[in-house]
Amino acid sequence: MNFNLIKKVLKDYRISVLLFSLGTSAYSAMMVSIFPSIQSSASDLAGYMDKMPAAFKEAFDISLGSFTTIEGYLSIEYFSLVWVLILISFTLAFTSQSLAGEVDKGTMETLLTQPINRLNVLFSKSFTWLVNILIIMAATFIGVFIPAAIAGIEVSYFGFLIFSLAALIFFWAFFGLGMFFSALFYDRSKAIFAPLGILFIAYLVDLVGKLYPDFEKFRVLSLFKYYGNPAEVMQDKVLPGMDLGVLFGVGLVFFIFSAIVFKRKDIY
Amino acid sequence: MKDSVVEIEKLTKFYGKNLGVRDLSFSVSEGEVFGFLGPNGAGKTTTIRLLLSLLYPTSGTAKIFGLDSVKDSLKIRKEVGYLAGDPNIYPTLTGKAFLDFIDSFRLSKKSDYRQQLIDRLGLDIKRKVKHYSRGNLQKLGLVSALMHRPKLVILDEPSSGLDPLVQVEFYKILNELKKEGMTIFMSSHNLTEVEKTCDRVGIIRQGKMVTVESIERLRHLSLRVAEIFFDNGYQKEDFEIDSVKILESGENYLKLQVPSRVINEVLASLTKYKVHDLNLTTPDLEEVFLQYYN
Repeated sequence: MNFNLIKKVLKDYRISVLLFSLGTSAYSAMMVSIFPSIQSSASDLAGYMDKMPAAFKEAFDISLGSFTTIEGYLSIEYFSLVWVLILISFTLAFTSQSLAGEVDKGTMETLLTQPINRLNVLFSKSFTWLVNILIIMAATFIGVFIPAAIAGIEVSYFGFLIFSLAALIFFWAFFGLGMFFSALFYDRSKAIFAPLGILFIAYLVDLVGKLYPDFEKFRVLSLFKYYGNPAEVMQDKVLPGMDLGVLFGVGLVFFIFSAIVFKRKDIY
Repeated sequence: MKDSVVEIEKLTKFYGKNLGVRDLSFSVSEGEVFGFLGPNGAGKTTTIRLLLSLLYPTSGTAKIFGLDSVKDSLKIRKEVGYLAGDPNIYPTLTGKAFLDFIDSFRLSKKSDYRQQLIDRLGLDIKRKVKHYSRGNLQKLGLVSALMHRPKLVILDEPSSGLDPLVQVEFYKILNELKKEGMTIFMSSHNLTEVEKTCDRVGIIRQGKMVTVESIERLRHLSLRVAEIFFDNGYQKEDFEIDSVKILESGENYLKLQVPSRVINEVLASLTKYKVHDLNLTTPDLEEVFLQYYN
């Protein structure tokens, strides 16, 4: 890895990372601060939930715990989808810019005529993504922990740590996909829309599979299936090894493909 | 005989079905200034990108310092400075930050040569690159290519966008570096620039090398346009000289296309007449191509 390139890319993204960190942590804080009022009206919500179709509740992982425990509540309102979409958006913006974006703008030519090899560029940029995503994730959790401590809500730090590892592996799968398309295409917009399309289809396949038993078998094709239910991971404090293995493998395979494609790519 | 710094052997590049360059073979000796000439789309930039391993050849080889341009590209790039035809530099960086970034890839200690180049080319490195004019971008690209005094410098249209005063300074810098023994490989459209700086030139057209000539030979081949204004008329037959083409003629005006090797014959014919004014211009290099290689 090249320290100077890492330093430059970290600097390039400092404003974006700051904004994403502020945004996700503010959203966390807002959700935690309204949790006590949600919790207190859980009995009313239980009645409302009883009227919901079972498949619908299952599809969206809605249970009474979704409103009585902080983990269940944050999972359904934030970590199941909204937060995931925010962090994957950051990831795909980053991957598309890293290779295709630089080729598109012509700055890759400037970089690759310096004494640095292509794999070094790929690894340095990937390391920078890891640092950036960890900063944003940490900001999100700080946004949970501080208001929770103030409001006296008990939170399992270890549960959050386990969940953060699971989420990181989920983001890694999309990072691998994003890097692959970024290595493949010369146009940044294609490099962002191709993995975004996969994200959308993956979510749709997972949702339809949960809603309709006939389609359940197709869920294995969706990356969202392997992300699972954040509340369960936080409460059980156990990493779903098999599912995360699939996600890690997908990320790794596509990351290796991206290295192969980028190494042999004509830059013009 | 000096060692070859660049050796190209049957280098071919296709972009899918489209030809980039085909069967290019030539070499550039140590300390030589080699001009690479050709019209737009001829394959100059493709050749340069193949040398720098930005593109991979379809077949053939390119060696720099005796090293394979693909397998040993990292070693090669430590000793090569490069200016792109259209320098694409990170817009959010200042000129200084960009030069520091480029500097950071080399372990060599910073020399005061970078500052000398900045001063001589009149470059303001405090501003952000996105606010640079085309000329200033070119200057920044030149400083980044030359500041390490590499053994080989590859320049794609180096004087493009530079004002005439800066061009003069740039030619001085190139001549100094040439005296120091730097090998310079430059592509250009500009015959005057090539005549001022290059020892030898290679002319490429439609992806193929048409010829590799010394600059004297190219000068000999090149065509001039002569505009002659007579006081009291002239006889057209006096100017119907072999290889001379009459482009325009009037009662007291004659415009000729003259190969430099027959300039003396034209001048001899002119002595018969009273000439009010004579204007001799070097045509655009592409016109030379069209005349000699079409």
